This record gives sequence, C-alpha cells and structure tokens, in this order.
Amino acid sequence: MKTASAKDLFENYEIDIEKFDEVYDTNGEVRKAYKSIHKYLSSLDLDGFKRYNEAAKLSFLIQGITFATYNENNQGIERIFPFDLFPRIIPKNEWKHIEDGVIQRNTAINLFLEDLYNDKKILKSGLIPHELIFSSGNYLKQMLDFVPPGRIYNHISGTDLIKHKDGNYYVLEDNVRCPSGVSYVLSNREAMKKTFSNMYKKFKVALITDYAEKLFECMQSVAPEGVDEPVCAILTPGIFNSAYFEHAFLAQSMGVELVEGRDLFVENGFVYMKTVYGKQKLDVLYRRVDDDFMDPLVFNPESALGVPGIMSVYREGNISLINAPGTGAADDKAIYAYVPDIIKYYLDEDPILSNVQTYRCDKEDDCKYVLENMDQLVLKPVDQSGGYGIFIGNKATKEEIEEMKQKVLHDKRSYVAQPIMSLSVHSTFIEETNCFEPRHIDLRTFTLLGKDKSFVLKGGLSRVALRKGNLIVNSSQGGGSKDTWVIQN
Amino acid sequence: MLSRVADNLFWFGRYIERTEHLCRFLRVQYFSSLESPLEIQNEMALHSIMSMVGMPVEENHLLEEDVLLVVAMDESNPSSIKSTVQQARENARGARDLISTELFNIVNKFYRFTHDYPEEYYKTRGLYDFTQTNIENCAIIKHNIQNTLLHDEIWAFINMGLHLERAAQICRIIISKLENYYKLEEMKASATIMSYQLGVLLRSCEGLDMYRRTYKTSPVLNNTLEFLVLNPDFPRSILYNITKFQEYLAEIWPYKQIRKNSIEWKIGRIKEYLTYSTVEDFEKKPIEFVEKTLDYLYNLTNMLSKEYLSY
Amino acid sequence: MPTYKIRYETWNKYQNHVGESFFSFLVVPCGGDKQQLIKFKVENSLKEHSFFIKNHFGFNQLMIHSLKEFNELHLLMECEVKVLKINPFEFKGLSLPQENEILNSYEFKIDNHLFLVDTHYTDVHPDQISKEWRKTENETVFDFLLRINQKIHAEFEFKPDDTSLSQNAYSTMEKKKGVCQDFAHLFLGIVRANNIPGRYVSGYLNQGDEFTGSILMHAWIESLIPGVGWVGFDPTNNLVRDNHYIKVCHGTDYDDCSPIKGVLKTEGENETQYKVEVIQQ
Repeated sequence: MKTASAKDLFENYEIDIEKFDEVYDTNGEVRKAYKSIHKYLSSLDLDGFKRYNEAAKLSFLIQGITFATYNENNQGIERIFPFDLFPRIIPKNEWKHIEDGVIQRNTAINLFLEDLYNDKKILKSGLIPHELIFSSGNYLKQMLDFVPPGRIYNHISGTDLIKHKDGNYYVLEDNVRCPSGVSYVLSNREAMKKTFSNMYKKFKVALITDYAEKLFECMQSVAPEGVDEPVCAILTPGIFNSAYFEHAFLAQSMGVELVEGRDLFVENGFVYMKTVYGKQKLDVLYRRVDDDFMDPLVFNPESALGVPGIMSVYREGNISLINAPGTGAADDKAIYAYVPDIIKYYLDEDPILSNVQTYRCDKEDDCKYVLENMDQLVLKPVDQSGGYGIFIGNKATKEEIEEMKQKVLHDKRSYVAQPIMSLSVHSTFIEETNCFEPRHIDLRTFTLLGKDKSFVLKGGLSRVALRKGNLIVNSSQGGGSKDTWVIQN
Repeated sequence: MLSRVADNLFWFGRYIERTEHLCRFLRVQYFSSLESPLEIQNEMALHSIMSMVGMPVEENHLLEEDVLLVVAMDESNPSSIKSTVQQARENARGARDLISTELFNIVNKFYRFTHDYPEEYYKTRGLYDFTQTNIENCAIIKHNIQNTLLHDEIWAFINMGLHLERAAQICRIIISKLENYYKLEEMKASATIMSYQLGVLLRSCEGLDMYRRTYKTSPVLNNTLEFLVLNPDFPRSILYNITKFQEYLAEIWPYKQIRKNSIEWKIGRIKEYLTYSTVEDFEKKPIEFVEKTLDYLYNLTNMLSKEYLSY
Repeated sequence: MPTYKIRYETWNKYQNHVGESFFSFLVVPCGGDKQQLIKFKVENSLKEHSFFIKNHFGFNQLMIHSLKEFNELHLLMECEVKVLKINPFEFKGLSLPQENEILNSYEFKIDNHLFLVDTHYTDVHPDQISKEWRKTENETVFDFLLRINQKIHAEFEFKPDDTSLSQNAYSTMEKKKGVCQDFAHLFLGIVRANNIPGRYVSGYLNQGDEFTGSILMHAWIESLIPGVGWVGFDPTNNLVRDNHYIKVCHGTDYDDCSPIKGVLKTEGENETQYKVEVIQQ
C-alpha cells in the first residue's frame, strides 16, 4: 500500500485569485499568520491526519454534540455538526476592528429597539419608514411602552461577517433573536486542544473559556430591581430540540437550572419553578424558545413550550427575559439596510464595519434595479433565517429567474437583494478527496450586552460551506465549522 | 431541583436497571434452555422471556428467532433492550446539565453501541456479546453514578430508581420462574429438573453462588424463596432493595415530618412487615405473595410521582 | 352619579379531567376618569388564590393558577362601580382644517399606529367600502362617527343566536347581521380604513333600560377625535357612550379583550356559560 506523502494533503490545492484565500496570498505564498500551522499540517501524512480527524469526530459523537432531525416515531437521526481541524486564524489587530465594530453595531441596535418600543423618535424623524416597522410581524404590541431591566434588549447578538475579495470584513446579517452556535465554538476548541495539543501550545490563542462566566454576569446584571442574588435559568423547548445540546451545555457551564415551560408557572405576579421541595421563584430567564411560543395567553395559544402569564410578569418587572421579546423587529433583513443610519442616528459615529449594499424591493428604484439584474444578485426573504429561501442569481436557470421575479412582484416587502458577495475561502479537509481544498467561510461573532457592560467572544464560529462552490454555510444546509483562533501578531 | 428533572433521574435509574435485568434474563434463559433435558423447558424459556418484557403470548409455538429479536432489537417495541437503553439515555439527556460529563458520556456511548448493533450479527452469533457488553456497560454506568456525582438528592433519585426497579424485576422473575416450576411439578418432573429450574431462577438474579454459600445445598424451594425475598444482605433480595429505597428517600428530605399515608410512612410499613416475615408465612402461596409485593411497589411509584415528581 | 352593582358569573365544564390550569379573566371594570371601582369581590370553586396582573394595555387581568384536578370551574365576581355623568355631546372640537392636519401628521400616525392597522377581525375588503362608508371632505370626525354609528344600527340586523362568536368584519358586511362584537369589529374596520384610530372596548351595559346586548358582556368602540380624545360609540344601540356604560378594557380587537382565557392540561370538549347582572343602585 502506498503511504501518502506529506505533500499529498495540500497537493491538489488550487488558488483562485478571484477569491480571497485566508491561508494563501495571490502568489500562492502562505500568509504570515498561517505559516507555522500550515507547516505543521503539511508534516502530517494522510493516515496520520485521518486518525486525528476520526478521533475528533468520535469525541463529538460520544459527548452527544449532535443535532437531530426527527422522523414520525421520534427516532432521531443524529448528526454531528461537521468540524474541520484546520483552524481559522485572525490576527489580533484585525480582531480589534471586528470587536469594536460589533459592539458599536449591537449597542446601536439596542438603542434602536428601546426607541421603537417607546418614543419612536427615529420613525418620527422619517429616517426609517414607519410602515416598514408596523408591517413587520416581529414588532410586538406586547412590548410597547415598556423598558426591560437594565435597558437591554439584545443581551446576546450573533453578528455574521464575511470577508470580501477586497480583504475587508462586511456584516452579512444581524441575529438578535437568541442566536445559537456558541456551544460549538467551545466544543470545537476542546476538540482542537485534545487533537493538536502540541501545536496549540505554541500559539497564544485568546481564551474563550470565560464565555459562560460573562453570560452569567450579564444575566445577573439585568435582574429585576431589588433582587440581589437572582435565580437564573435557561428555558429549552426540550430534548427533541435540535439545539438541546447547547441549552444543556450552557446550563451546565453556568450552573443554572435548565427548565422547560411545563416546569414553570405564574402566581401572584411572579414566575415559579416546580421543584421537589415545592415552588421556587425565578428571576432571570435566558429563553431559547421563540417569541411566538413564550406565552400562550398573548402569543400562539397552541404553544405548550411557554408559560401562560409570563409576559405580564415581565412587564411588571418581576422577571427578566433574555433576549427581550420583539427583538426580531431589528434583525429583519429589510432593517439591515438601515443599520448604518441607525448607528449614526443613535451614536453619532460612523459605522466601523461596513454593510453589504442592499436593495429593498419595496422601494421603487431598488425594485426596478433588482428585476433588471436578477442574475447578478442574491435575493433573500426578509423574515427567514437559517439560509432558507435564498435565491442566488448566477446559479439560477431562466425559468427560476422568471419564477423569482413573480414572487418579488407579488410581495415586495418580503424580499431584499444584495450583490453576490464573494465570501473568502479557507483550506478545509475534504473527506471525499482526502485532501485540503478551498471552501467558502463566514464568521458568526457573539456579543453580550449587560447593564453597563459588553463582551465579545474572542473568535466565534467560522462556518464552512462544505459543498464545492456553495456559498451557504448554515448547518441546516450542509455547512460545517472550524475553530477560530485570535492570536498575537 | 426541578420535579421534572427528578423524574428524569428516577427513570434513568429505572431504565438502566431494567436493561441490565432484561439482558441477564435473556442470556440466562437462552443458554440454559440449550441444555434443558425437556423440550417443554425450551418452550417455557421463550414464554418467560416474552412475559418479562411485558408481552405474554398465548400460542404455544414461538419461533426462537422472533422472540430473541423482538426482545432485544425491535425499536418499535418499547420494552426491547434497544428501547430501554434509548429511554435511559433520553432521561439522562433531560438531566444532562446536572449529572457529570463522565456519566453522560458513558450513557451516550452505551446508547450508540446498542443503537448501532448489527441485527444480523446478533441473530447468528452476537447474543452473548450483546447482552454481556450491555451488562458491563450498566456496571460502568453504576460505577459512575456512585463515583462521579455528589452524593446529594440527584444521586439519591437515581438510586431510588435503581432499587425500585430491581425489586420489581426480581418480583417478576420470581413469578415467571415459579409458574414454570409448578407446571413442571404437575408434570411430575424429576427432582434434578426441579432443582435445575430453581438454579435458573437464582442465576437470573445472579444469586446462585451466594445461595450456595448461604445454604450449602443445591436449590430447594423454601430456601430459594427465603433468599430472594427476605435475605437482608443479598443486594438482589426484595427486602434489601426496599431498605435501600427507604434510605435514599430519606436523603431527599431528611427532617421531614412523616405523615400517615405518605410515601415515607408506607415504605416504613412494608419494610417492617418484610423484616419480621418468615418464609413459612408465604411458602404455600408464594406467587400470590410476590404479586402483592409487586402491587405495593407500583403503588410506591405512583406515590413518589405524586409527592415529588409531578410537574 | 349612578352607581352600579355588577355580578359576573361563569361555569366551565370539561369532558375530561383538567390537570394543571391557568385562567385569565378580563371582567373587572377598570378605573379611570369616567368611572370608579368602589367594591370588589371574587370567588372560585377551586378555592384557589386569585391575583391581578396588568396586561399590555394596562388593564387588570384576574388570574388563577391551579394544580388541582377538576371537571368544573365556577367563578363569581361582584363589584360596585360609580360612573360619572357624561354628556358626550359637550365638548369643543377643532376646526376641520386643524383636525385634518393632525390626522395627516406623521406623529399622530406613529403614536396611534396600533389602532390604525387592521387585524384579522377588523379587516374589510376595499371593495366593500363604498362611498357612503367614507368620511366626506366637509365632515368632522365626530359627525362621521355619528353617521356610521347610526348607519350600522339602521342597516344591520342584531341576531344574538348567531353561533359564531368571532366573525370578521368582512363577513359581517356581507351578511348584514351579527352581534355587538361583530358590529364593533366592522366599525373598527371602517374607521381604520378612513385613517382614524379606533379601538375595541369590552364592558357592561345598564340592564335597567331596554338596551340591546345588555344581558351579556357588551362590546363597543372608542375612536380618537383629534383635539378631543377617545370617545365611545355603540353601533348596536346607536348611542354615544354615556353613563350607562361600564368599561372593562380596550384593545385592538376582541383578542385583546376576551373575558376569559384558559391554558389547560386536558383533552376533549368543554362548555362555557356565563351570566351578567348590571343593576343601577
């Protein structure tokens, strides 16, 4: 049997100068930050590398770091979220820019939400058309004329960034409705440490282990008034939820209870947990249940995942919810286009991170442009997440373009369009070909806002589109992930 | 602790114990039937396997292969071994944030093992390997329960599940094997066969060796009953498990005032009753006695649910 | 100043056992500048403690949580309310141009957006809004509201035995009949289509005089007249709200005001009955 030589792992690597390659520059030279890790990986032969790879995969499976899709008899088909051993590296100075940028952006979004639900100054100024907000299903009347404890709405924000071929970072999407994925960041790091301990030691990788502690501090900082030692919990839809691992992981890391809706009830203006010793008052709830399912009394009456009456308790100030309900009014893709204006309006600062040019189909000029240039644009439904319903113009057939045009004309408010951004690529091990190949990546960052405090997880989740040429990195669409290392220059 | 999570822990304990007993019972019955002198014993073994998983069958001619598959591999059968392991794991997941990573990982690994076990291999050669590995996994899990958790109420709820389930399983094994015993007696089977049958019962409870040490004879009925029901030191006797259940229950709420008709009161009564019973009290109608005990255990579960685990 | 004694009683029967339950009642009259709650008492057959929490419009919801098993719930609420003498025609309105200026201002639209947007209950099809449903150029808001109040009263049949509690404004317009909730929703659809804010009101009506709809909980609307404030209109009786009306709460439509809501662990059918007494002292 032929032993794979060291070179084999990167042998077929093709550098496409049309795209920004994170590892190689346009001359095919390995970038400075990647030099030693590249050298290390090149020193491994295929068998050796595959052993590491299999061991890492197995460790995910044994820990149950899986997401499941359930069929009718509830026998879940479990998959691990594919994980790539070649870490993405971000030099510290570059990271500083990102960190400042996402804090600025999410701080502005927080002020925007408070304004939207109270004075509505930004709407009265005419900067954002009020119809855009009032027609959004995510703008909740249950949140009007109310300010949550600590004046924080988006305690946890997931800001998705991409690097364009110009080498600059752009914000692709804001996620302020309890974004997920942070447990993968922490598990990926554990896996990397175990697998490549020798190499990991050599780098001064910024630590991420403080996330749970910071999240806990953030939760405590927004406790209801007068509560000094708040009882905190995480609300999960239950063990069948695809992100259950993350919910349990976070509860365990923070040492707080992991509760389901049926464990809670409202009495006398407070929320209580049902424990073996009777009822216990709950003060701060990080809920991983969507707005619509939180309170069957005021939202979806069919919901069994929530707690009847909890919204009233919330408005009384007797429980804090993380994130606040109704934050979806701010991360809608139609609002995205206005975020630079929002930053300017509330903070009087220029945005640190750029937006991708966005055309809103409900604006006449924009719509005309979109309809005429469908083949060069990406169209996204404004109220979907998870990469669903995305239309990529240069990959579509004539019929598909025509069909999309009709959809847009039929419901203009529901679509935005953006130029096809060229996401940067990163060397990624491809099992089918047994070697490293370039694949598109993005970066989900995690920002915490508490009362008078903010924190950004150093690194975040680098998501990889594993299918060749694919631009969609979401796990539901066949994406994987990489560990992200923020290192000293 | 949340009542729902306590419920998960309790049932986690029960399913682990149930899995272990099912595996042992299946293995012992299957391999002992291979060397049974009478054809009927083989038939009886298959029937008792089915009744252990709560699927008693009327018809006489069971196909061995069907029985072995349904009991171990059939995921659509909620009492199969695969299903009980899955239940154990789902309950552990429900309390995942409270138990140790070591414990969860071994449970999950165990689940992956049974879940992925190839049916073809099981049918032809794997029965011993499958049941034995499962029993070993249960042992490792129990080891982790005792050695990686704080000995607090979380631990106590799991142990209550283990002991209650064990007491119930021992009851069911006794009932099932005694039925066979009396059938053989009716057929005037030889003393060797009768004793062999009691040996199978003791082995199903992993008690033959300790029985011999206690009585220094081959199995006879009243000694066997005394040993499995009333021995205070044998960890698989009914009395032993009820005593343990009482001890763990006391961990939950140590200074609780005991009210009449509460679960603490009831368990105290049954324990006293068993402690001062002798085998002569029930050797005439042992099945009736054990059935009554089993009802008592069901009743305890209901009370526990009502008083501690409802949500 | 008339004082009313109000008694609200409800019986709920369930086919199967109810395990855990949570009820919310919007049946207690609100306070405010037009009425005053003097006495109040509530009893429930579960003997559970009940408590008040405000909903998002600031109205007191009476709530009960229970872990007891039951098949039947009975609730009785008794109270006394003092209602101020109101002469709804006694106010100084703005001039037509002033009124229009406010109605068309950004500020007004944004501040009152909740009561300007249709809900599934109040939605009327644009084709149904013929000329006579539109405010004319020379009409003040008040005059327009009076006209529509009268028009619904005159052209629509009150049919209390209609089974569907919740028909929407579109079908009320088609059928030309309904009950007080339906007329309120239709009225809201019309005012909102004319860019005038309108909100749904739930409450009680004096049973002493022969008003339509007083034997049960009643529904009417309030509309915002620029420079004046919210004024109540009752198309069922062609009246402007006066001291015969006792308000419980308002909202965008019935959903914000339903007198009883329950979230229950049970399966199967259930049956609800209720009775109202409103006696002037």
